[in-house]
Amino acid sequence: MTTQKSISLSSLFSEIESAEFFTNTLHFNNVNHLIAFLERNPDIRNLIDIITMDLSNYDLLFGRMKMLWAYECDQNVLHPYDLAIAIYLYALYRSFNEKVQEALEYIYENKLKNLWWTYHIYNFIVKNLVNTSSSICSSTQVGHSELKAYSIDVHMTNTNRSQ
Amino acid sequence: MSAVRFTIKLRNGQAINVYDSSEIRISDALMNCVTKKYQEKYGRENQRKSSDIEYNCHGLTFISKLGWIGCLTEDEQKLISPYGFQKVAFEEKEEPDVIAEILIGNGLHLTRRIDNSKIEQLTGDEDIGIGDIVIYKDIRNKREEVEHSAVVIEVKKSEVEVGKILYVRVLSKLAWAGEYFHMFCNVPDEYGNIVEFWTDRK
Repeated sequence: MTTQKSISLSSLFSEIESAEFFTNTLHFNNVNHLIAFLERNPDIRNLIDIITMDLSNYDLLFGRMKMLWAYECDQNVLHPYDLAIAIYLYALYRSFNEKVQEALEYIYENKLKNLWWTYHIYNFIVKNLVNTSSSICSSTQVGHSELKAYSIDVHMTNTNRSQ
Repeated sequence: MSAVRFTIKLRNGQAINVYDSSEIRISDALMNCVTKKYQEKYGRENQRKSSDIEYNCHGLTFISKLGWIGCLTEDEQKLISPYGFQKVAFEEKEEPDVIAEILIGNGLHLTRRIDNSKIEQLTGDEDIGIGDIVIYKDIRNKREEVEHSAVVIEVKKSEVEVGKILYVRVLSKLAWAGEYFHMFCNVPDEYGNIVEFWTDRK
């Protein structure tokens, strides 16, 4: 079972870290656009489900995030790994994993990178945590109302936008 | 990363910051991917210009591509401390809806507001002209923030029914991606479900 999950997680990593996946976000003007996209994307939903149902997957995801962080890419060039790190952080938060604090601290203490989406998602999460609780550990429902609002988007289908 | 490049002053005297994102570049690989994606969506012939990160949609619509407005802020790239969650640090820095302020502050007025999924609402009485501004809003999340903007470049009217508008084409810049000619309603879902037409014509 664990192997199956690992394979599934591995394939999601490949998908999320690809240039094609990053391309989906290049028309986004702000972090709200990105979050709406993440909430309706099936790969991200799968990722969140995997993290939520088995705490041991947290280590895999966090390890992956740190590995990407260590990658020596040009800090001033938009890179698929930037989006991937942002997504992994968001998945930890969205799965209400109390260890998201560890990931936030890691990014804050290792702020060597000049990453676009990572920083936006990081600040979005911290702000939501402030708005909903003074301590992550004291509330597993962090940001739930905010996320619920975004989830409205998920269920709205693309309506008639043909030319 | 997103420093203030300069400040513009609206007709009503209000100052608006224009931001610089030129420190960030897009790799060639990403550039090729995004060019291909939007050429497929809008057609190669409708791409006016490929990816350019010097300005965003509002930069094209309002200030001749001189920078980013309405999306970036000065402190966006400063990480908020995760220790103790210093609420005060950011609560007072919420940005107002800059684009709405530009529209009002420059004396534009709203001529039409429709649901983007119901383009048949555009039936013929509209006062829409070339050069008018199209604003895209998202009200699905109980917010009403401007998500995108474009400039009208063509208004096709019926030769049979007097005054009836058949379609409206616009030119818009898709954030980090390029400039495209497209039907006003053919935009990514993230840009919202409400379309407004604004004009400075009397």
